Amino acid sequence: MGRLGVPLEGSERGERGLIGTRGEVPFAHKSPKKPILQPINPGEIVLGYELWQTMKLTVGDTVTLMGKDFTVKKCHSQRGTKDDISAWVPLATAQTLLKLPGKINTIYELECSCALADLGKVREEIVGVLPETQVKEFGTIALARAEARKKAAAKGKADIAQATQNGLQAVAEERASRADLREERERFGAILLPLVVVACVMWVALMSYLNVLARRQEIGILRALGVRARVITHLFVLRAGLTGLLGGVIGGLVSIAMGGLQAGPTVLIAVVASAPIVGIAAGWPPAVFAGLQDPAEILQKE
Amino acid sequence: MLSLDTISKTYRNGAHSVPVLCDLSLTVARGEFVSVLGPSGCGKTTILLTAGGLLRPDAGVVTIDGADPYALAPEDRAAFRAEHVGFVFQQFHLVPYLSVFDNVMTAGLASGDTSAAVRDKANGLIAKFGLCERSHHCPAELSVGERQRVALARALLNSLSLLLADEPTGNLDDDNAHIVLDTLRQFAHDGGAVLLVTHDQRTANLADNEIRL
Repeated sequence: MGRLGVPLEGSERGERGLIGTRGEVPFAHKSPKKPILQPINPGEIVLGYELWQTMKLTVGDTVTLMGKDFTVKKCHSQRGTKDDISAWVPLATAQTLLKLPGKINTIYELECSCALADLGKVREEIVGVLPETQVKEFGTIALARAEARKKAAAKGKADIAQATQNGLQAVAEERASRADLREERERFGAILLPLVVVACVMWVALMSYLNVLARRQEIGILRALGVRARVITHLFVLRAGLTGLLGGVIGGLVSIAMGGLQAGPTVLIAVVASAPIVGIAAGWPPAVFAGLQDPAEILQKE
Repeated sequence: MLSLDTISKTYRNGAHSVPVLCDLSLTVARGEFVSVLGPSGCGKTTILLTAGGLLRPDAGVVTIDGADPYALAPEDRAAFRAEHVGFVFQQFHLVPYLSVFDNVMTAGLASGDTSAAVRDKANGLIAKFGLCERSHHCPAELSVGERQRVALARALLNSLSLLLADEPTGNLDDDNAHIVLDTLRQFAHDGGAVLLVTHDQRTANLADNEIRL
């Protein structure tokens, strides 16, 4: 931002200054555009703290400077710098009043982050264009800002990295936890499944045995008629196999209804297919027992 | 046809033993209807079971159609029984959850022949005994007389040579008793052999020969 700053003669300490300032234009070197920010409009003046205090001025008052009337636009609060004894008017007005048309003596590079770059190189480039230019670095402020930005950027990166790391770690922990849970379930299943199968075998065997006892009369009749023992055995084996198949199908349907095909269709088919085998294995001894029934004994008891 | 030669049988239960048959001999020829008369507990059913190849005697020889069923392996003896021997019991011994037709066809299951011809024969026997309307009924839905007729039809399904009847008229009224006894006599007249055991004198008197225990 270009500006013209001149100490005003006759001020109490000889240090009061007039600053002509222009509106801020982004990329002003490329093409002149209407300023996006107009700090001071023509006919207006902005006063530093000490100025409006000593002259007892306030916003909206009219003040005459170098023969020209200005309306006070703004009264700055105390800053503790030269700003307290400065007055700002539009650049063009200052150039006219000071009879320095087209002149500026300061270029502010506001919000410059050149401190992050090579400052010496920047200075060389400016002096190359404007040989008599004095390049000052408002180090304290600029560096502080730059460092703050740098720190903020670094902190942001670190925060993102940390968050990413935390996220990855959380995902990894969740995966490990699930793997542990699955492994635990598999261990539990490896113990439970044989127990369930054994229990089912015993249960089917018991039911088959009770069924044989309940059907002794029919067995005796059929045996008396000449039905072979192996036919009786096969009938009971077939019954046990069908019972197993029915149990497997019902179990499969209940499994699907309760948890879906978590273990996969292959496992489900294997379970349903093996159920009749389990039923036959369990029903075989009672079926053989049925075939060994003595028809004479049964008929005599009946 | 049927020969029991010096048969003996004693039932044993631990230290107790009950001799039932002692050196019993009898024969039933083809075309003969023989009754065994005796009071309850005298061993009538034991004679029948022994003659039918169901109860091995302690001593003596049983011969049916020239063969000793007890010389056969158990499975072969069952097949022999299906081919030669039929039973009619006082308590009918029908399979309670099978229909009349299926009960008759259990004899076909025993002989291993459930062909259409056998099924036709089963339907013919059911018709002969007046059970057409009851063909799909279970035994519990039948009268006592109907149940015994079903048992008769079952006994006659296979082309047997020996029919063994254990008090077949014991639970029947006169009409049904006559149907049963006429059927047995007809079976003997057609060339079969019938051995009937009973405690009823009138029933025993209907046989060609009577043996009193």
